[in-house]
Amino acid sequence: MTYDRETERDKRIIVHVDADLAALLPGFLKDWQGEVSAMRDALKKNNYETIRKIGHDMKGIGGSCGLDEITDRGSSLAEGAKAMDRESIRKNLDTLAGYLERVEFVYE
Amino acid sequence: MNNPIIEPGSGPKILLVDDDPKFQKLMRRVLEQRGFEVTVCNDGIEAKEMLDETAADLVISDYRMPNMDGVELLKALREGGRDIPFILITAYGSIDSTMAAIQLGTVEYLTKPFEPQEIVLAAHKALKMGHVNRELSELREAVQAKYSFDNLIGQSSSMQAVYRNIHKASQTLTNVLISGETGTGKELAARAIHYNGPLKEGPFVAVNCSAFSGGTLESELFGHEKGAFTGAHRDHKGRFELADQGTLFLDEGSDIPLSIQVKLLRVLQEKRFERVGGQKTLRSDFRLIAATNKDLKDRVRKGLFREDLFYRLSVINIAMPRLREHPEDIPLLTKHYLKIFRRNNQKDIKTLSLEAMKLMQSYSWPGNVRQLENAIESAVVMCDGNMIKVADLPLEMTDLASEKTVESNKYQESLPRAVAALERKMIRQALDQNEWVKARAAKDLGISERVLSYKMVKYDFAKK
Repeated sequence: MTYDRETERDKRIIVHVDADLAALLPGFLKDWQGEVSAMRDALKKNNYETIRKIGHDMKGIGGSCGLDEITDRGSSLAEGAKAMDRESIRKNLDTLAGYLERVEFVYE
Repeated sequence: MNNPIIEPGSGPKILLVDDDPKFQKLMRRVLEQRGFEVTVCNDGIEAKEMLDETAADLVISDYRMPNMDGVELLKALREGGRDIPFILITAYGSIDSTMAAIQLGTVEYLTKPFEPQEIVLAAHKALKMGHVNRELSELREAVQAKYSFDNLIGQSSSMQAVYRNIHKASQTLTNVLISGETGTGKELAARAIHYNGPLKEGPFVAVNCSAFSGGTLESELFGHEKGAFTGAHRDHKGRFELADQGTLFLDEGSDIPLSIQVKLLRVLQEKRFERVGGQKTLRSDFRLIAATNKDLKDRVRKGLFREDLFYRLSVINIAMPRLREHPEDIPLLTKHYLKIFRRNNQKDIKTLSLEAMKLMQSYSWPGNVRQLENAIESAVVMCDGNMIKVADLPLEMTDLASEKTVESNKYQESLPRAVAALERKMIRQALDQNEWVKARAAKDLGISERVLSYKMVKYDFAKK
């Protein structure tokens, strides 16, 4: 699985993933986008436990799907939630939302 | 994902326990594509309830879950006597949970995130280990059953006394000395003591002391370090080390040279020793059972066996009687071994003829129960019908019986009985020499084939 950053112009992120995951990843992508919204809401309510739990689950599954960025962001969000670091959580949520918007899968 | 493909639905059943729906979906897909049958649940309590109702071949569980975590689930299963293979999935750095799981007997653990093929490989490995563990456990149970008191054969008063002593010895950890002629079952008694006592889960290590020369026996018992002597190319664990937490059985213990006896005494007293050529003092805690076919007290009197070691060994004494001292057990032993060997040889042999059983009971059995066992095995192989006859029994039994009748009973028994014994021996020899071709045997004996046939029926040789 390789990770190619395209030019700044179109900002697409192409990720090569196992064809076995073709049936799952589109659904997972939608779920993660929903989870970003859920974490933003949780941040507004200072509900750090929800952020920690979602971040922890993202950390656990991202790499298994070939999406190391999901694991890295999930890990940072869980850490940020533990430390109640609002700025770090906000930054990571922005980065994650941007990634989920631009990522495209190539199944092989 | 290049792992072996199993026909969908035909593979082992996996119970996947994780509270993350996406992880459930991913693992289910990966595992089902490899042919595993996957059932999913959300936490330990649900998993436990599910396992109480349906069987699974493997549990894959996340560590961190609500209600009951992975380690608690594993603990509950082990406490309930469920040895089902278990893979624990942990987060990076959860050393404590991993250690706890290993102590409870997890066969595998994985750290999230992992590549999908890792779970497939781990599942195959865990199932294989589970299979090996099950086989080991079945083997252990079979061995324990084999040496259970129920399987000790003999109803005579002398054997009943032996069993009582074996039972008493098995309930203690003291040293035992078993004496008796070759073939009386000394090792069987030692194993019965071990497998029915508190050390039954530990090893039973047997050494035949007469099979080694002095130096070799020392190295065999104490072990040696690499370079301790010519030919010591690597470190070697001795039987003392191997028997730790179990039983060491020294067969023919009377043959231990005096130079080793003094060292053995120290091991028994201090439970410490050094390997040959080694500096480090090792510790081993084992129970010693020694066996001898010689009169050990006589060896002490002659200065061939240390008196202090004799007393240390013979805390409990068990004397195995010779078979000729309890002939009433012969029919029972015969029946027991007949059952074993007809099954092993897939033969439908039901019994022994009256003549054959009479011979079994009158024979002196110098090799004791082991000889009787061998005689029945040989007779089962030789027997063509469904009844063992005298002709099927080993030659030494029929010959000795004949000679005994002719030589020792010549003035006590009637002439016809002595003549019959001699006649039976001559007929058997003639038949053996002529490959049981009656015409040729009759010619050698100087009688007609018809008379030979009659005498063969008379002496229980007819079947051949």
